[in-house]
Amino acid sequence: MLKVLRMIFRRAPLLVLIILIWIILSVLSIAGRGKAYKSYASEDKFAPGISIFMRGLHDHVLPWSDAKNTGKNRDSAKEPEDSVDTDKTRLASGEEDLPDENEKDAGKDSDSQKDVKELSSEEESEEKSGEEKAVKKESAEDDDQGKEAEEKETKEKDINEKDIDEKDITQKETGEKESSGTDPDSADSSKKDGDQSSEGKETAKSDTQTQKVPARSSTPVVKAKDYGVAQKSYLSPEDTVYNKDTEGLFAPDGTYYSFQKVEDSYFVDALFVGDSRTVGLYEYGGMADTASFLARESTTIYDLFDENEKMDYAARGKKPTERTFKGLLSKTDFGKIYLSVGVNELGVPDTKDFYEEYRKVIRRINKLQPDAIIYIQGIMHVSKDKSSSDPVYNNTAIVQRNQAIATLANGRNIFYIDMNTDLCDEDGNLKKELTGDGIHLKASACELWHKFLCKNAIVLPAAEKAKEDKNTTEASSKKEEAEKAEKEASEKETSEKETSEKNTSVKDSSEKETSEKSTSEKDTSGKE
Amino acid sequence: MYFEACALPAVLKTGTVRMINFSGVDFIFRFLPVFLILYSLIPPKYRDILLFAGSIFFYASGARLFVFVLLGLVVINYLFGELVYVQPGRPRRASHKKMMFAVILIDVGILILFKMLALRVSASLLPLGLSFYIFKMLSYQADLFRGEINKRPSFFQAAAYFTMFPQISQGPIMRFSQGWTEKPSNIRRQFAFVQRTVPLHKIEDGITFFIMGLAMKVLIADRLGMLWNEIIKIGFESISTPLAWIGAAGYSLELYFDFWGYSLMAGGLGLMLGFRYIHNFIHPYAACGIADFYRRWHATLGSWFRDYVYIPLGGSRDGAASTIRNLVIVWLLTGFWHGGTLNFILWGAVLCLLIILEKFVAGGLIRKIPVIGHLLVIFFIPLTWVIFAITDLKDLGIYFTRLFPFFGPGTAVNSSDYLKYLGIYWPFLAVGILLCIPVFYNLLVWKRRNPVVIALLFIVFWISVYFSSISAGNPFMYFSF
Repeated sequence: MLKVLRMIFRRAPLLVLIILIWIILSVLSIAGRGKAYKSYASEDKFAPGISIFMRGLHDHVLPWSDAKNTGKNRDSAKEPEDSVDTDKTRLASGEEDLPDENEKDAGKDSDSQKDVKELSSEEESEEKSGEEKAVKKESAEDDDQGKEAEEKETKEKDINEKDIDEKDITQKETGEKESSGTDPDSADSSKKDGDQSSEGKETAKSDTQTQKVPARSSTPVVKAKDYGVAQKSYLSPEDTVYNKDTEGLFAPDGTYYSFQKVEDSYFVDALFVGDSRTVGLYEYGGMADTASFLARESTTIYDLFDENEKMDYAARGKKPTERTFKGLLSKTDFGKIYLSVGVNELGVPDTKDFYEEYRKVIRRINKLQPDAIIYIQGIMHVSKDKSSSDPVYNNTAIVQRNQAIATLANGRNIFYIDMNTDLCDEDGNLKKELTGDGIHLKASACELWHKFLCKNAIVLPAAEKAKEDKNTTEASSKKEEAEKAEKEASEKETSEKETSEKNTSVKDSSEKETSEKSTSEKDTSGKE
Repeated sequence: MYFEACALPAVLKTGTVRMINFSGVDFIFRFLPVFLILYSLIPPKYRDILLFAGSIFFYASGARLFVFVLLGLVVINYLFGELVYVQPGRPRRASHKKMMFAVILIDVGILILFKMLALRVSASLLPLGLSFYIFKMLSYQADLFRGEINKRPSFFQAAAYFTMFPQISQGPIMRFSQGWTEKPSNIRRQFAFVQRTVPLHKIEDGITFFIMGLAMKVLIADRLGMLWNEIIKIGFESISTPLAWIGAAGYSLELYFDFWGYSLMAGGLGLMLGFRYIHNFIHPYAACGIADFYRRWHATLGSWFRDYVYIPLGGSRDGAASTIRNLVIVWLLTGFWHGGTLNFILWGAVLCLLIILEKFVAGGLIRKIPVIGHLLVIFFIPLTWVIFAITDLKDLGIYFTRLFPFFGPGTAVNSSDYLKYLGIYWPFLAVGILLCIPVFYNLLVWKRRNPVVIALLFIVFWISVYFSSISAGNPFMYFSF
């Protein structure tokens, strides 16, 4: 036996060596299948042992590694069975460790503030029949829907003392359905048009309704045409409700902020954080000398606060050095932090998980840099060719994720901006001439991003308000909105409203107004 | 890469099918060992059947329903082949000729049909490897007619020849007679086989070539492919001139190592199955002149066109005018074979022009001073690959204005961009350029039994498997931005 083996080895040493290592690695891999490689095995049941071993190696997971420490969060997120549990624990721990941004301001009033919040949320969900959840339930049953609409109508009449046509309401419901990302028609361009017109109406309505015009903390997520390629597992399950951070639509002094035009000097204390797209902005956006950048190719929201995730940090006009996000934020103060991530993690199910992680990251940033304005940049869409062929990196998935993270804006220090309106065609696909590979802006198109940022900035001092209003009106991309606003409003604020934010529809905000005003007043007192 | 240029079906790109890809883990550790074990266990006379069956399985795993196109063509070509077959030494009759032209018409018609469908409707409608197996079928018919095949092939011999998995997706375009045994003493001539079993040292050689090819594909070509992607990402109008040249060089090397790597893997697999090694790349970048380059680059395709188009048309016998005409026909066909879009035709035309100029104008000079021939290759070939790479003629024009910036600067150019990409990709470019020099590769092949080379190949194999696993195996990671 040994003789035969030796003979074989002498004639074909490479063959023998490879087979030997192959067997060893396969055995190791199979042994680790239940433990260290659990997530890999469930992800791809038929993957050869070798391939699992190599992928583990890539993520620094070895067969004998502890299952709990299998690398990054991403790995556990990939695993469908455990994901629910991890979500909960992560969420819970996140809320315990990281106080809500309201709490830090509120100080001793935090309890009462919480009460107010809870009350308002109760009101939202239980007392008001026109609320989001109720509508969602009802919308399932067609019979009740009409009734619901009627009720809503009466309520709105009461509040507004003004006629509202039913079309408006149905459209609102559509918007709500869309925000859950389950409506297959959500990407329909015809509906998009409908939404736009309803937006116009809402603007008009809100202007008369209240002296304080609601903050347009976001521009709309451009609807993407659903080519039917999106894999369901990357999207959130039906009826997912995102815990909105949009309660605080008011600034501490009780007024709204709105986007306005700024000069390049605005970005002097800004930090841009993101993936390869942000690298592109750094290299070709003409902002390297005015702003600071912390970016790395293929980074994700899960990586941002990873201790091992060293990114390239280019302080204003300086050469890049390696830094971690946490390290940077705890040493250097920034006035504005722009986040642009989300395309690399499209392959990590699902939207809900992405959203929770994003929320956590924002809270950590807010804790480290309480005075900074945080801009959540909507994920830029991909081109039509890419979107219509890729089950993972397509606009259906991107729109859903944008709808989720847009709800994290609070209109006080966290804002959602979405440049897709400036870059996409009417189907919501990134314009062909702006991209070479379908995913990134071409170098020559990065200037558009820069311009968008200049047009959509928040300036905090209230003194600038008059100027700000004017500018925002100009910045608004939709003429009709602007016209209506000019006609009807004494205080004008226009721009677009993000679809999912319609959950907190204008009516809601007016109803919440009282409670929120008190909240924000408390905020102010806390600060002072 | 070469695949994609030839309009690879979209299904492969999604990464859902991995077995069809030689560098994929599923092929290396599943299909191949299982097939080799079965192949060595069954009696040699059934091996043609097993090779056919295994190849159909292999093809179906990647090309799905197109397997029926293949099967249909196999049956048609076998049946016509029966009618076309001329015993060596026997006279040809008119019916032989008629049948041959009929089947050639069918084969070429199907090739054009699918190429047009791919061009006009969707690239995913082009069956995987169609251009390659149709060319094998055409050469089979011609060889039968010319009396170059000694014995009437059986169905499974012909079918195994048409479909054999090492060659089905990207060649080399082996001739039927190359698959036959060389030994006339063997009475029971079989497709592929003399020996009862493939000797161990042949398998070892096969593995050696396979690993070299795998490493070229995974460690050089795929890495350099990322450089080309970066350039597409930036947009051609915004790259600096040095980067444009680095891009052209990078793309040329990528194409070379992708296709040479593939050919080495195919050759190695052939050896493991008991076939002869088919030479497809003979150090093209060491060629002296453009024509010489194409005798060495994709040699089986070049010799195919020579034997079945150029020479039947009269070759270079009937004076300069007809030679030029024949060259033009061959090169336009070559361009069309690579892809239907205009840039491929342009690519063929430019090469044709270069070869004609070289033959009639600079021929003497190159013979006297060979360095000029080498410089021509190094300068012009990468430029022709740029034409090959960019299917949109407008984009192509933009790229050339960046290569030769006489028409003003580009837009939003970062003039030091090439430093960044050179910093990232220089090791791959350097290794690539070194491997273009024949002595390194030849030394490796010559010393392949040396323990140092074995150790090197062993390490390179596992590194390749590592990269192959993390990039292709995981559908989430096949791109990262």
